[in-house]
Formats: sequence, structure tokens, C-alpha cells
Amino acid sequence: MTQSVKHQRLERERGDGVELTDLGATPAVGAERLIHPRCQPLHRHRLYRLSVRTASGAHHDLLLTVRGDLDSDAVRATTLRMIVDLVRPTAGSIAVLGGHYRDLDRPWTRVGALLDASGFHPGRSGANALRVVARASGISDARVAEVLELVELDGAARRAVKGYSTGMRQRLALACLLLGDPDVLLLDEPANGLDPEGMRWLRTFLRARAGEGKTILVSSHVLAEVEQTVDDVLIISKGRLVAKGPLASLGAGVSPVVRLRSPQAELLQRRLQERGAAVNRLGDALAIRGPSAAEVGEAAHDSGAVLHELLTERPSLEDLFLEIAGTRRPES
Amino acid sequence: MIDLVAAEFLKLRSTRTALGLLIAAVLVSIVPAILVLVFAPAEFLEDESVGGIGLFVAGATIVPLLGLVFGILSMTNEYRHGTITYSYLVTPRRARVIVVKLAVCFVVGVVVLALVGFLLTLTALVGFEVRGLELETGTLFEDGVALTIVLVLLASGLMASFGVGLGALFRNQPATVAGTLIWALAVEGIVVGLKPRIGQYLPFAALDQVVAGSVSMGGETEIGLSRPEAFLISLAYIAVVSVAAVYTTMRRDVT
Repeated sequence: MTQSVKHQRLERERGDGVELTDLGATPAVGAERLIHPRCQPLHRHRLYRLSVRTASGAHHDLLLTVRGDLDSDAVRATTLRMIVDLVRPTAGSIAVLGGHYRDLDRPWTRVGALLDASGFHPGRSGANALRVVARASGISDARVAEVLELVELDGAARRAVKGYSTGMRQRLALACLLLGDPDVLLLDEPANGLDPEGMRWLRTFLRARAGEGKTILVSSHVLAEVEQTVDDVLIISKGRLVAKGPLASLGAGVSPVVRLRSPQAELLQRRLQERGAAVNRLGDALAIRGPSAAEVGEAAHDSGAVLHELLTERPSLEDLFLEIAGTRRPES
Repeated sequence: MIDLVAAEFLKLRSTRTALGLLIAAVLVSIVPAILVLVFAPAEFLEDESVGGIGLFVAGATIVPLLGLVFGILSMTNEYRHGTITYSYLVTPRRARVIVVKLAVCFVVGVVVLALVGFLLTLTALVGFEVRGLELETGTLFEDGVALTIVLVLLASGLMASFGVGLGALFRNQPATVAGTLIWALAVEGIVVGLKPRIGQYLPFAALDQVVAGSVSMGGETEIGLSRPEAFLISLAYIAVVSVAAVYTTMRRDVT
């Protein structure tokens, strides 16, 4: 692990976990000493505190995730459900916008949550499904029409939800989320079930909402997808916050991988290893960590090797996650 | 609260469950009544002591049971289809959600039985007229008739609320519907038959005594509660189940 990444690791406090405090004075979402039976076996004695806040006037998209070898779905889902009071922690407390979710006045106009796209009665039309939520929140039917148009479902508004595709249900859930025009949006696996076109639509959608100054907390294990959407990242491993900050600055600490193809790959592998590079070979392809592409090119020239391909691969969020969480396994 | 009530009524209107049960309630009440009117001998209908009128309204006594099923479905559908998540996200004070559902289903139970009663009266008037029979009509405020009508209507509402409470407690739709019907129709029937002095105080037997005026108490005719007594006992059961439903709902996780 490189020095700069180490710098970004937060100090771990045994028992109490760590706290993220420097994103703003008043947390938009805060939690401390959370325990829940569903998480406890996974987090045994690993309690964490988490505060997320957009700076005034600025926007931050935040990624909350846990290490892949844990039952991360349960942990992520339970944590988000704790924020909106659907799941009660057996100990500790959690706050949204400075208080308990249940104490917020008309909470759906302050915080929107997408936790499960299947939360609609299959026999109810899309428009009526939203009207039920709108009416209970004191939101006008005109707003229902607006959000349906926003998610491009106005044409299917009268159809029963059971006739919707997975992507349409996801968009309906996003429309529901926006009914009250809340400042804080919580999304659990928003890209679930979306086709490539739907994923692109979702990226644009989230970017637009973030551009409006909303705080968006995205929880996902599809790191490749999240990477294209978020600005800031929180990486939680084994229930502990291990890194945070803008995606670009976190990535700066991880060395890129240089990839090449050459008929003399074996010869080139030996030469590079002699120069201290970490090299993996698969047939005529090499993956090299350490030297830059220019240095690899020079080494190839010195060895008289022919290159068919030479490129630098920036670390993905997945690489970053594995690097920071310390779970990288040797490439085979 | 008014917003919540409006949302609850919209939930009822926007699916076929409520409409289906309303149609079922009308059919099970009116069809037997029409058959009695068409096929029963004139003296059977005119002589009150023979019990023709009792047979005429027999179908309507099933309506509160349909109300019970309606109450169970209206609550368990929320869990079955996951809509409970949005219900509690929008109204995190969960007790309000349950209380509003109890109230709305109570109103629906009362209104549906009132509608069925109105249709039965209309059917009787038309049927007796067509057959050239004389329909004996009393005065509404004589012999406690008005009180009986009010108690029967309220009992129908209470059955629907009872269903909501049971649905909130048990959540699993098929198990709750099947379990409740087996309990109401079989278990209590056996207890009432074998131990009528105990059976008369059971919840559905008590509600039955409000609706039907009496239940078969294993041949012991002197046993049985008056309508007001049975109503109060029913009310106590519904209160206990409702409080338990609110209590457990507030503490359960929605996952």
C-alpha cells in the first residue's frame, strides 16, 4: 500500500470505531454505536460511527460499502434502514438532519429513500402507487405527474405495476423518492436490474439531482457502476471506516497498472522483474505494477522486444477498495 | 391524520381487493334472499314464527365474516407486497398507520353491512310486492330495533378492525386468513358445542351473538348473551388485539 493511501486511512479506535467529522458541522446523516442482531455476528464488537454531510452549497455523492467477503448486503441494507427508522438498533442511536427520522415533520419531504423497488402493490397503477404515498405526505397529485414525467414513466402511469419491467419499477421507486423533493436521498443498490441504457439514465439522473445541491448517499457493491457516478467515497470494511475523500485523490495513492502484449512477453517479464517491477503474465500479455508506461517501453526497446500493445490502466474503484481495505489477493 | 385517512381510502379504491369483497358481500346476501323470495311458500314468508325472514337474511350474516377477511387482507397485503415500507417511511409513527387502518376498515365494515341491509330491504319490498304478499313492518324505535341495528352495524365494523389487528400481529396472509377462519368456524364452534358456558365468551361467538342475536349453544337455550353484553365483550377483544398490534408493530423491524 502506498504512503498516500496510508495517510488517508483513519485511525482505528478499538471498540468505538471511527468517526468522519470534517465534511460539515451539522451531520446530514449521523450514526453512532449501532448494533443490530442482523449485523452483530458480522460486526462482532466492531461498532462504528458514521457522519455524512455535504458542505454548505456544495454537493457530495457518497458511497457506503463494506468488505465483499462479509454479508455486505445485509449490513448495508440494515444500516440504511436504521437511518430511516425501519430497523431499530438494539443499542446506539442514529440521526438524520439533526434528529430521529421519526421526529421529522413530514419526513418524506426531507429525506427520500430507495430501499426496495418491489415496494408497490402489483395491482395498483404506477400513478396510484405514487398518489398513495403523496396523499399520506400531503403532497399534491400534480407533483405525482411531474415526477412521473421526470423518470419518463408518464406514458405507463395508468398501467398496473405488475406489467412493469424491473427497470421501470426502479424508475417508479426513484419517482417516489422525489415526490417530496427531499434534500437527502438514500439509495440502496439503485442500479439493480437496470440494463446498460437504464444504468446510463440513472447516472445522468443522480448527477442532475446532485447538481441541484442534494445529498445523495448511494450504497452499492457494483463498484464499477458507482465509480462513474460518485464524487466522494467512504469505504467501510468490517464495520470500520477505513478511507474517505474525493475519488480522484484516493485513486492518486494507488499505482496504475501498465498492460502490454508482446511475442517476447516471457523475456520482457524477466527484464522487468530484474528492475524490481511486479509482473504477472498470461500468455503474451503482461500486467506490470511499479514502472510507468514510458519506463516499460524503454525496457522493451533495450531488450529488443516487439510491442503489440502498451497502455496504462488507472485503478478502478474496485482496485482502490481492495487496496485500501487490504483484501487484495495476488493476481494469478 | 386526515392525509393518512385519505391515503388509506385511496389504497382501497386503487386495487380490486375491496371491490371484490364488496361484490361478494352483496352476492352472498342478495342471491339467497332472492331464492327464498322466489321458491319459498307464501305462508313460510308471512308467518314470522316459521322463521322465513331469518332464512331471508341468512346470507347477510356472512358479511361480517367477509369484513374480517377484508381487514386481514388490507393489513397483510402491506407486508405481502412490501408496501409497508413506504407506509412507514412516510409515517414513521407507526401507531398512526395502524390506528388509521383500524378506523378505515371499521367504517368500511359498517358501510358495507348497511348497504347490504338496504339492498335486502329493497329486495324484500319488491319481492313481496311481486308475489302479492303482505310484508309486516314494525316501528324502528320500538322493542329496541334501532339499538339492535346499530349494534349489528358496529359489530360488522369491529370484525373488519379485528381483521386488521390480527393481520398486524401475524403478518403472513395465508396463515392468518386460514388460521382465523378455522378458529372462528371450527374451533369456536366445537367449544361452543361442548362447553357453551365458556364458548359464549369466545371472540367470534360473542360477535356472532351481536350479529345473529343468538348462537346455537349445544341445545342449552337458556345460555347466551344479550346483544349489548356480547357487543361489550367483542369490543374488549378488539381493544386487546388492537393494542397488541400497535405494540408489536412499533417494535418490529421492517426488512
